[in-house]
Amino acid sequence: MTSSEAAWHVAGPVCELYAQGALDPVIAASVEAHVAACADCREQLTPTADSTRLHAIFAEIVDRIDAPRANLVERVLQWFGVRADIARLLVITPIVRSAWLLAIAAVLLFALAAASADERAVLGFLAVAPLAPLAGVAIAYGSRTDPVHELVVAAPFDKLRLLLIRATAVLAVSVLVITPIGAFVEDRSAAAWQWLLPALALAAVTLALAERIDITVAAGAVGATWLAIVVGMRVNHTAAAMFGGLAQIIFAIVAVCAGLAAFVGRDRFNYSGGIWK
Amino acid sequence: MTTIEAIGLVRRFHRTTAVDGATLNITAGVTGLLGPNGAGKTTTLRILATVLARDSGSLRMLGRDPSNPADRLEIRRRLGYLPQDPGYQRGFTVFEFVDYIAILKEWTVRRARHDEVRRVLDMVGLSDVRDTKIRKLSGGMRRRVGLAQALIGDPELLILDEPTVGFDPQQRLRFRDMISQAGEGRTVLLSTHLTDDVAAICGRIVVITAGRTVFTGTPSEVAATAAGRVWSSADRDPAADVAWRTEDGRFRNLGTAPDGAHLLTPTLDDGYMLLVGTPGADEVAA
Repeated sequence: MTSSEAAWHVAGPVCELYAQGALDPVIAASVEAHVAACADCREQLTPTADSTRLHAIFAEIVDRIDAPRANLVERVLQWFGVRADIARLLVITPIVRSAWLLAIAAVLLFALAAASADERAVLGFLAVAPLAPLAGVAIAYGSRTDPVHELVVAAPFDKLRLLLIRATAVLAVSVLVITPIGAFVEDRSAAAWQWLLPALALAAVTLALAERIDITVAAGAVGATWLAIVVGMRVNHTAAAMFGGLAQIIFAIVAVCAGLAAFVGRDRFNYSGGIWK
Repeated sequence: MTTIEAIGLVRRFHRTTAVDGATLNITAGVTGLLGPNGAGKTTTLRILATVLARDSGSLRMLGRDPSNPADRLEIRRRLGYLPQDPGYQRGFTVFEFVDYIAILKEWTVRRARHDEVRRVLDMVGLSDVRDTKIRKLSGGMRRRVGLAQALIGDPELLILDEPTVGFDPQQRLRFRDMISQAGEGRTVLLSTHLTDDVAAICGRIVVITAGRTVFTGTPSEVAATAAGRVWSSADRDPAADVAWRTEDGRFRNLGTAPDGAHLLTPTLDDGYMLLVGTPGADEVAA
């Protein structure tokens, strides 16, 4: 059907209402079907269109087509109430990706060792499981592990916040991966959760120290101290005593105190080795 | 208005002094930081980009002092920085990478951020490869990705460390066009060791050697420092600081007049060579 053959044309006022987006959707659909085929009406419509609105609509279309898709992890994070830009930051932060892999690999190795299920394997699992998230935290910030660290430093995003976001992500993933493995440690399914507070305490102490010294150095020192204590105590204590009720309370106290120290000293996270943060 | 005012900047790394009393006064427009490799250009720019702390000296940028955390944050909000080696995440697509930096630059609203990413990718001519992984790009294209992230948010101050490294001649010309547009109404400070780039786009030049700023002026003022010291002669002058054979078969000598030589009009290269290549260059005043 050509325009001259059309039985009807869009009236001027209807045209204007359509251009403003104020038309009833049913009538608007009818106008669209007609205009698609009728050159006269298209011409009539063109000058009434608001170019700002058209640009906005087109930008919306481009964005729908063009924007990188939110991946599964990102959508799950947003579902849990994480802000969209923070979720994006988390999933595209490669350091976290590698930190996750590192944590997972370390724990799987110890799960294998723990499968033999004697006292030593349980102890081994409980001593090493908290180190996996610690390793993740250690590589969460700094020029040694972040290929674009120079750009990160020069950007206005708060660096302590960035470190905490990444550390939280590492801890969260560690919990998801390590807890089920711990539950399979025979005769001691308490191992599934007994590593958690020590892990939190080690991470909190590391974060508090990272406000003063390089984070990898801090994590190394904390990890070494932890292993020395565990190995030292093992001589006259059982795993049940070392990770039992009293010990768990001590771990909680350490975690809270270190967390407070990190909070109080947050303004110090500012400078290290002549580089601003 | 002065954007950057630095007096006597010093920065040491262990025993070496990379920047040794550099003094800069940078205003709106495009300024080139010119110096040989190892002269302290990168260290100076890293200090100005709020990455490195200075050991001593005074520094005010955009009216603020980067040693103060609140001031530093404000400077970073108004700064675009291309490091000498930005160290790309190679597994990212071009869009993802620039989007990541945009989040770090506090572009929290997704739509506005994506529009901005598209704008800067368009500016550097990378719209077509936005979904390509960075590891698949050539060196020159990667450099443009780095440039794109520096342009996010249309910053008042652009600090670019060797922006033309890896560019072919055509890309270099396009870059000049882009920078001269970007330099209108804002401050661009770029480092290079290529006098061509500087002559083409920089309104002002700061010559730096051995960590010190030895001259500040327009390209023609740099050239003028060699007035009376550039000679044409039939033979190489053994006493010249530098001498080379030119197209016409004669020698161009920098230094004192050889026998039977006639004086030439100095170029930017001549001025630069004499500023950085001769002992006592530190004493040349602006």
